[in-house]
Amino acid sequence: MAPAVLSLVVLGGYPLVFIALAAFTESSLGRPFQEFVGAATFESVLADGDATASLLRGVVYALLVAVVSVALGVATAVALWRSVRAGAVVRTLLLLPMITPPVVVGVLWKLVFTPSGGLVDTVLGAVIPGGATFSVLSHPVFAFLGVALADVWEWTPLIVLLVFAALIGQDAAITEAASLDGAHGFRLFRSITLPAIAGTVAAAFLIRLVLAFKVFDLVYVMTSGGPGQATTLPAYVIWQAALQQFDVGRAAAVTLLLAVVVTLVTLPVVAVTRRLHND
Amino acid sequence: MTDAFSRHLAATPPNTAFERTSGSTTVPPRSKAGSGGRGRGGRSVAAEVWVVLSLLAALVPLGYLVSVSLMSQGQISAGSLVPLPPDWGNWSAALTETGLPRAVLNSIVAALGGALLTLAFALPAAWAMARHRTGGRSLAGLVLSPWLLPPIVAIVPLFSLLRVLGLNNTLVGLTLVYALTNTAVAIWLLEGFVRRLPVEVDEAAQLDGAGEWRVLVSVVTPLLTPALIAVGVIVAVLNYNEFLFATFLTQGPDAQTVPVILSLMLGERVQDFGTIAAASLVGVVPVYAAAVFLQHRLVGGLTAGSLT
Amino acid sequence: MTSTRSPFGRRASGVAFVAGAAAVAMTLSACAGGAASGSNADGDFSGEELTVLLISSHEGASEWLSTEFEEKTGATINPVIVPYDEIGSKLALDQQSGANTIDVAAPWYVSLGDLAADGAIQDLTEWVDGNDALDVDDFIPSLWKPYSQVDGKTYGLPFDGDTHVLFYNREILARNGFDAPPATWDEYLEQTKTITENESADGVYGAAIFGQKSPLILGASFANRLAGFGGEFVDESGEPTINTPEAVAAAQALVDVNDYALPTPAETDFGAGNSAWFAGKVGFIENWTDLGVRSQDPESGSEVVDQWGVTFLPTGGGNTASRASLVAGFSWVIAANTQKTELAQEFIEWASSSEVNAKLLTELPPTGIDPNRLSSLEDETYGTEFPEIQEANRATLDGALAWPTGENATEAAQVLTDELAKLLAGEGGTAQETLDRVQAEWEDLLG
Repeated sequence: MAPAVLSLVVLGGYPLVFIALAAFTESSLGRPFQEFVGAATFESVLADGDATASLLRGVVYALLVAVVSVALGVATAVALWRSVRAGAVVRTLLLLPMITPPVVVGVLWKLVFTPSGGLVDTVLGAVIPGGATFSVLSHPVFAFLGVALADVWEWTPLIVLLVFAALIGQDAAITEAASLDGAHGFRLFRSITLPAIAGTVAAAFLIRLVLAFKVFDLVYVMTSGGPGQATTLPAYVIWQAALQQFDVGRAAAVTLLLAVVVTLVTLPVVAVTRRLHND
Repeated sequence: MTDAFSRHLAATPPNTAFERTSGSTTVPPRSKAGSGGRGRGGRSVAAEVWVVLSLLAALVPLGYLVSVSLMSQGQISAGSLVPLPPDWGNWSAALTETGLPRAVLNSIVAALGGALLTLAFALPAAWAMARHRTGGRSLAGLVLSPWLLPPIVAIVPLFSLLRVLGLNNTLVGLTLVYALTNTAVAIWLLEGFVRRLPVEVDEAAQLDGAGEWRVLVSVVTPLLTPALIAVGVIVAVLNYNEFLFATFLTQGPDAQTVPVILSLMLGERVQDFGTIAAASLVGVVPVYAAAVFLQHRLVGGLTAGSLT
Repeated sequence: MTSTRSPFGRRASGVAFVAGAAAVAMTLSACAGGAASGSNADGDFSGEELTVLLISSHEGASEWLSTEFEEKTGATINPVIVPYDEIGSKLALDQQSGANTIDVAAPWYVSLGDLAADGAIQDLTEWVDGNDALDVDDFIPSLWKPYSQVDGKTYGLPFDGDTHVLFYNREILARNGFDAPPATWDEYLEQTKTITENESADGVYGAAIFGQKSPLILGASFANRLAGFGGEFVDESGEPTINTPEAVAAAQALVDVNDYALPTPAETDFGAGNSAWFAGKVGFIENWTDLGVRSQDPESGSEVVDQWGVTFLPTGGGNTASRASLVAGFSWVIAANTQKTELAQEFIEWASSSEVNAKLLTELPPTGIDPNRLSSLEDETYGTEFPEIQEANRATLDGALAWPTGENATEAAQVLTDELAKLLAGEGGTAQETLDRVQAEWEDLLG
């Protein structure tokens, strides 16, 4: 058994080793590991305002998207759990965004946001007759929020699924005993249900955070990182460096810097998750 | 051996993982939820309203995509929301002129093949970690660490790996890459399930003389079936939807998957949004069709999961 | 970067097309004799296969080339089609990993230097210099050097000329009191502004500008203006000149028209811009010459049949001679590790020949390839069928603006594009500040 595990770890770790080596060497797409350059690549990335701004933008984006997704996801899961009418069909329909390929999600929201004839533009035009065309993805702030919205739409169902599973998985006996003791409504929810699912919510938040840090397809399809740098998120920077500019060394350095950022952001969340799990 | 196993199963407290799973999948989950949710009139209305709102949020954009897929270019730029009359030309174009049916087939093969391989890799690893206490949860976390990063740079070494194996530009190669890249996630998810299996189950089996692998195959695997299905489904969906590896590791219709075909359509000088919308919908049909099955299994499997 | 149709229409008419092409091929080989053949004395390559990497816009051309080449030599062409922004990296990865599945490719000419530095493409200098049949003097001089040379060595042969021209919607101009298209970028701004102010409430705008953050899209819009103002990316010795007054004026022209263009161009890619043009919603669009062919085709959804005209790109500042800008442009290269160099040479020699280029210019359904040779530009059929487009393409004869092509050129193009995107989004300060930053980075990258 141990050799099997070991070989998997090696195979899984192999790309990671490549990234680490590339980050410290002069590496192009065609000729990796030309010469050792130490931390020079890191220095040049850190000196590049656009690169560091994209890392910071990635943090803001991931936190925003994760918080909104988890808030909406928990609310929806609880509503589903409480709802008398919502059955398997409703749950299935709610899952659809999550199993839609990100490329399709990007196409979909791009169409929704299209300035002439898109859903948003048409609806706004009907509400405010004579108003100017509204182009969501052309405005830096709205474009950022537009990509975030597509991301929230895509992955909130995952939170719903995880939290819903936790809700129906909680111990019915405890809930019933508590309600016999006179605990009702919100008090029952807060004192019994919430603690029971807190670990799941924290873990779901963690997963959501990581998914948001890695987002690439949506940016690629919807905005190409624009307007300006507004939606240039870390994964897009890495893609540009490695596969547009052939600068694998730089791409690897950004990847490792992102690893540091992701770790710093997720550590507190991991700690909370652990505590809630051990409770 | 069967005896020992059922004894332990019976001895397991009612709220442990697999008991809960089998319970909640045979009994509709709502009956349990109902015990907490029913009879609370006012709150229940709020819940129903929220469910309706979420349904709208999930379905309106998809409905718009359907709408666009039935519009001519002129209708789209004129800002119609409902395609009247519907123009089915986009659908026939998407089905007959883009190589999409083959791509759907490729996607399904890579998704399912990759998922099965991933499970085959991950289950022994997860079991070994959980059972031999090899590093426990920390090792599982360590194994997961590559998954935390965008895999873009990894394309370069993976390309070389496939060359060594002689699998460049093949569906088998892509399937193998999917299997490898998702193994970490699968280990991490499965490890929690395995830990919840009572140790006595496989200890008893080993006392009965079964070897390590034998225990894994004939005792642990059947017990973990709901979890394996849930994890397999998650991984298969991730595979089906993957774009970046697919676009770099395949060339030509024999291996290209749905997202690759869609990205080629997006790169056209003149984009035909109606056909792109229709092609997108054709591409999602297999996963949507499986969604009914998925929902049930996912909820069932995850109920027992490491996350609860 | 020049096909006119989505691949769908092309496939649909495949059968008739193949039959027609076969007939043409027989005629060609009957009368052309050895004209297009190289030193290999019309080699018979029956049973051999050549894998050719192309961008999705060249899919139509690839089908024509495959059929014809097989007819001529017996060799099978296996086209591999990728999105336009992946062709360079895909070729480099294929060669670097040792997979070596690609034999020939047609990448963006700007990536030649990086591909050469990465050891992904062959140095063709010796072969080209020793092969008179290539007739390199017939390539349009302004294209030849950028499309083939890096540091005095030859790495490619021009395939798709690809310059932009200015299309205008006659009816929209007439409605707004303009009876002639603009000759300068100032006039262009004036007309765009008027149209947008008069008609934007009805969804009609003065201009569609390709503004998406890609060197081939936003980079092209800037290059068109840089050419008009008489600027250059780099000087004769390859030193960056991207913050000259001409370049700043070009960037400023882009900023000025920004507010009046189709909803603001930051997200306008090929599809969005072209769709608006075909729907008759924009007065101007800078585009590849083949846009005209589809504009005349109501079948493909054009609502501007017979309503449009085409002219040279406007000029600006002290410059009064219109200059072509080589915004896209693609060259044939041979993969470094191919085992089929001889067949690959045979193919690219033929595919860049005058006969093939002339055929591709007028082939139906349109392949969208632009002229790469003097002789094909002046081809009789081309002149009869598309006189306006031929005239517009003659702009390349008076010299053209080309991107730098050496090592790091693709990164340089990306840096410029990113900075311009920031400028347009209001994040980059003034045009002068923006281009000063680009100049500094370019001196690092290209120096």
